Amino acid sequence: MNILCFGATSDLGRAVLRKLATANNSFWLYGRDKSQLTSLGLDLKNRGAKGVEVDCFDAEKKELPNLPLLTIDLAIICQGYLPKDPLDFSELEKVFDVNFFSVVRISEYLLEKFKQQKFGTLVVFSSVAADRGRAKIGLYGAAKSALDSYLSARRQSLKEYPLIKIITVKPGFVKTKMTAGIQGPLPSTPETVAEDVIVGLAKGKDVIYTPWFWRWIMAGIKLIPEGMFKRFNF
Amino acid sequence: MVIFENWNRYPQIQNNQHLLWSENFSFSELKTYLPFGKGRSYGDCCLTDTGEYLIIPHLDNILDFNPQAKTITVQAGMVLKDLLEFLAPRGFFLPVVPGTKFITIGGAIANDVHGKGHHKFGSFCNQVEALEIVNSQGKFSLKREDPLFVATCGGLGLTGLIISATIRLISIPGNTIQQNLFFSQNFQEACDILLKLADLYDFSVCWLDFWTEDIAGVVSFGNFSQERSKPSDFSLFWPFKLKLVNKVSSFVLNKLYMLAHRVKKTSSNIHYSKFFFPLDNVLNWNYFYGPKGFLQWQCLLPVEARSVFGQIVKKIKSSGITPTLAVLKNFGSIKPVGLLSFPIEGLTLALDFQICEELFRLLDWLDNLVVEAGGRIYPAKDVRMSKTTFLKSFPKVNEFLKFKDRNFCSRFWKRVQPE
Repeated sequence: MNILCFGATSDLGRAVLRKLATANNSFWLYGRDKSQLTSLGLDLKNRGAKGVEVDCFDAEKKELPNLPLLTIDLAIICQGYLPKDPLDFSELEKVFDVNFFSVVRISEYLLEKFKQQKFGTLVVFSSVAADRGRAKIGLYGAAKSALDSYLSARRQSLKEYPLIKIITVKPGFVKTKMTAGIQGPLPSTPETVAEDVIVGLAKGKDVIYTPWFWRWIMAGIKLIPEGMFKRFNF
Repeated sequence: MVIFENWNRYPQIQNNQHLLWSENFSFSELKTYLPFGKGRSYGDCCLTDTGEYLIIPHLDNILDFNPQAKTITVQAGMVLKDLLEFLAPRGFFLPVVPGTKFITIGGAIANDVHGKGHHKFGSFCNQVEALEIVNSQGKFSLKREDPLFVATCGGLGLTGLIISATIRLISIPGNTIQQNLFFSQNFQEACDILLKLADLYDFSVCWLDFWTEDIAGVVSFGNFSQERSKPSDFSLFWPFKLKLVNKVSSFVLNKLYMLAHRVKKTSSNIHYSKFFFPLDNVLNWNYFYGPKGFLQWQCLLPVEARSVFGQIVKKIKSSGITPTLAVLKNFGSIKPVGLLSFPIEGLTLALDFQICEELFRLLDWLDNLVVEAGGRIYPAKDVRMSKTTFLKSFPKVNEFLKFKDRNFCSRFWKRVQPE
């Protein structure tokens, strides 16, 4: 398989890529930090990957990545940016650039290629934060909500292409470098998320909540009437 | 919001300043830094009240793996669990692993951690062949003979940030340990069994029940065997802040542990995880001690002074403070690498205590006893030892001072550093 990953050096990205590092798979890794990408490339090679290419790509700049000329079987987008202060509006642009605009731009570009190939799987990392806006999650939640909405729209629009698949991954609170210094509820690990993603990929799921219980927690949270919800502090 | 905490959750420090280390990082002269891996030390050597934490867990790539030479080069943020899951299926293993697999390689080197096989392999840094570190003076690639290498091994993260390390591996025939159990009636017997039979096995450890009159124990020995088995998937996360450990529960726990081993076959094959990391199945067992946390006290006595353990046990018994968990291990004659490395040939006793006021007085008293007998207290598990205790038992401190970086400091170092 030919696998692309954007935000490859993120904790979630690395965890998923390592699970996929077998002799059949070649990787194209995109990220900001060249030295981290190179180390990750070495890592995947040492774990048995067939081939690894790395390319610098900054989600904040309005540019498109250089895609390989070969067919692409799987593309994973796991870039994300969580501002320190959830409602710091000076970060509005960065939050939406990294979490939304850039993801949509890359997705459209990839889906165009998938349409030509007539197949392909796109895995995009959203968050349970997308399900309902909360003060503690602020702009990040808003950007992820927009992303969820876009992915669901795109999924419907591609119903003529049965072999093109869009998967939304919605992790709960995961202990990563993005959330370093934050104590969140029911913490899970990148490892668990990666396992769930691999299982979800094999089953061909559309939306993956990880760990599974978040689906039901968020379903419950969505049911709370707004008048009551605004009083809460979680 | 306090997040940077040590494993025993005492003392709790309100400091959340942190930075992700990256290639283009530059040290500011006015600040102090402290590398932070997984926060698994039972001490304040991983804490700083005023400095900034340098986070490394995202540096966890395998940079080179050489099965012929039996070496692996990994970045320092690599967690033991991940490394072992990579190595074991390929027929390799780390010669030295501590009691938990949730620590980083950087942390293992900085504390020169030891495991159940010290008499065969020495401690962690005995397996390290090369290091790459960065500090306020620049970036250094170090070989074993470099003085900075020697200072960094067991250097408590004070000589700089460890970036990557090359580690020697051992080949293993399977992923299970052939475990043999022996039961001891009293403390003396436990020591004797450990010392006498150690040569026959690569790994040994003794669990002690301080709730019995004479301190009965279970000594387990192990060697890697050819058989393969699956690791158990069981793992538990305790989501409540409720304190579980008290006198009754720790009494019951110790009895159950003993019973569980009594009914077991004395010789069995178990997965390496179960042998080396029995507590890791409960992901946050440190929360069992409630919001106040707990203390672990680990002392080391030279073989010739092991009779002093008798006095230690007697004092603990008479104080009425009983440790929840007690573990005894033996250290062989292999010389440690680092200037501040903990191991010397002898026996080491680790005790977990609930925190109470009298405990501190008791431990101060015990510290003196240990130091007088030529022993020492493990810095990685200490939050309270006095400056004199530390300086007396680690004579190479003055040499270490030459290599300590001015921009690196921990709460532990502030407490014990020479004037």
